[in-house]
Amino acid sequence: MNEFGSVLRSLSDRLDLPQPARSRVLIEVAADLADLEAAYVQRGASPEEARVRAAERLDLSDETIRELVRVHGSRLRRGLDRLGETGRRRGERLALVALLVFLVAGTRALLPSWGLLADAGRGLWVVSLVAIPGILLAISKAYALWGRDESDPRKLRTGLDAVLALGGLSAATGLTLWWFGLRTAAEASAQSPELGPAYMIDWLIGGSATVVVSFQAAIVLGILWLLLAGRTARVERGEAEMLLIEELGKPEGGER
Amino acid sequence: MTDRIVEPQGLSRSANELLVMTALDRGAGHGYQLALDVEERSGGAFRFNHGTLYPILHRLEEKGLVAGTWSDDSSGGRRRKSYALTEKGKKHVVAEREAWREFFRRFWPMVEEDR
Repeated sequence: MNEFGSVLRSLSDRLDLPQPARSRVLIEVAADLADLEAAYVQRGASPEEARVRAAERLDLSDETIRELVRVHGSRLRRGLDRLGETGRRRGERLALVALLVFLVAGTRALLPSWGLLADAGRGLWVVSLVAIPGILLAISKAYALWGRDESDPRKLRTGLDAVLALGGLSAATGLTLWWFGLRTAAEASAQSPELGPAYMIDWLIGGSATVVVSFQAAIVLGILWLLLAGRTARVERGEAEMLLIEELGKPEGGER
Repeated sequence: MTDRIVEPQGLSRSANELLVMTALDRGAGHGYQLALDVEERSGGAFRFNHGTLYPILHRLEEKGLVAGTWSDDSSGGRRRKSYALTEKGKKHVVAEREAWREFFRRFWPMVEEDR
């Protein structure tokens, strides 16, 4: 157990940061406290005096803590990390599986005889250009996390947010194509008013199919991201806890 | 001559960052070493509680001005993080020194007693 354990645990309680950022800060502070104590001893202080002076010198005010939290990520970043962390909790994982089953069933209902995909027409290809790289990226991340048991903190989150971003982009692409289709249909109707209703019906069928497909892709990518982020957070937490136990020993009250 | 001076609103942050980066300009170091270095070289005038040092170092790291490296201490097995200036950081130090010179060049005539 680190001799500054109580100081570090108090710091840990006040640091509103997700793992592993919190553990990294604590480990850095723990090493510096020990080194500062040694430096004071070298300068002639008794070990006890050196320990007290080192702890006093740390002096993490509320303002400093707030600044540390601010430096270590935006509110969005911390929110996303926490959202990813929640994916590993059993109850939420069950809810996630239920949602996945519901979506798979819903998707099957929406794709009888590929009619929806055919209706989406060219829009499908445009949405695919966004969604397929996202799905491939998610598959490669899944292979790294589950297949290769990736645990290198520098690589764990690489590409993870891109999966989510491509999901969002997929939905945005569908909506853009929908509006673009409306404009095209309106222009065509203006040139040939007698065919106007046919153009508008074409747009309604094709545009809505594109939007449905793009939103389905976004939902699938969102779910994949949630699963990957949950796994990543679990790996990071495991790594961080291992580091913390090495530095501080097991917490007296068990897991926080 | 520089086209930039330190802004009064950010004096404290800018001064702290420059003190830390100047300490790093003399060589890489751990957080506590930087705090002691600044204190010793200033004859005790500038004293960082090293808690306040972490947000500064981490912010500079975020900006790419310093690089933090984790290493295992071979004797105790303790992980330590040491910091060094990056190339971008070295250029930034030069620019900041010039900005502070310019600040004081304008500041003193404003606050010195009339002679």
